[in-house]
Amino acid sequence: MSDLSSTTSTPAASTSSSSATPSDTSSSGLTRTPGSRVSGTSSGSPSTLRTEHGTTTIADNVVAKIAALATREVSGVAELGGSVSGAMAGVMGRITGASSNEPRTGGVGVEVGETQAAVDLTLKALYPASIHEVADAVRQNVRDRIESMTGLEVVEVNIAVVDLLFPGEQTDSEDLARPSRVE
Amino acid sequence: MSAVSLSLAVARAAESAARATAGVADLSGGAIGEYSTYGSGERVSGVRVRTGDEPSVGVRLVVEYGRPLPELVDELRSRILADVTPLFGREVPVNLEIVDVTTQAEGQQATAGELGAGRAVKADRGALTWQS
Repeated sequence: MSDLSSTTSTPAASTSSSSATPSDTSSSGLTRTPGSRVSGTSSGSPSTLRTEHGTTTIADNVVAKIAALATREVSGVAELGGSVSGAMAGVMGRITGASSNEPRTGGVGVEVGETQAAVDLTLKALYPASIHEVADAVRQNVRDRIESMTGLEVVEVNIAVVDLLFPGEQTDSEDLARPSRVE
Repeated sequence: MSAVSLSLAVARAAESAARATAGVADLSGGAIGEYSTYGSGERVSGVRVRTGDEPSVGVRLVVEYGRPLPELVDELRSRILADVTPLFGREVPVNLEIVDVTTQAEGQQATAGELGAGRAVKADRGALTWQS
């Protein structure tokens, strides 16, 4: 649980997208070089579609939340994010007062261009699901949801499976995200 | 019609068009309501109207998870254009910004159902936080 670095490397390498170049298969799914993977990237600006009747902008945050929700829709995904990001999200949620029904985007990294998006996910799988099948299902669902909802083409979905949780164990770090345990 | 009341009328029309569009959860005026239109002691949050030489309407939206956004923005843009074109006397650009996405309570339950009872309880807590 505590030794994330050793649990990361093997599953990340085995489940990374086939379109990814070896250099993309970094141990942390969240390190990325801006502008390198999607076309039409203009240094972190959100996806903008210009028409004769005005522009439409989709914030990166929106793409990240869609990816997070799409990931959680797959059974076999215990939770998104590593221990650190989960704990941080819980602490930050307490500080900022973010409500627990907001979709959390810890463990999700996105790079969004004008017409394309790339997604990096860090997740924990639920024992005894097949990690390959979960990764494939997540990749498919994230791609489908982002492409159908935003119209962006998803060029890659990199998945790092950093931990395996047993049924009953998965609520542990969720406790941190709860705003209050008393009514 | 003075410039102030024109922008307020346009902002109200744009707001009601947005609220009538399926898939729009809310309008977002930003953390301190900076993205708003003011007039006659009233504020329309999430809508910014420009009058003058280069008139335009800007709307910041929070959408619900599920509906394809290209379809949503097409519908919303047509609704807004239909309502504000008579006010301006001509077609103006309608700029839409999708700043956030949210899930409805029922969407949460559907997600929770697939993830087990633990999260369903959490969804109930989330729905009830307004009481505290």
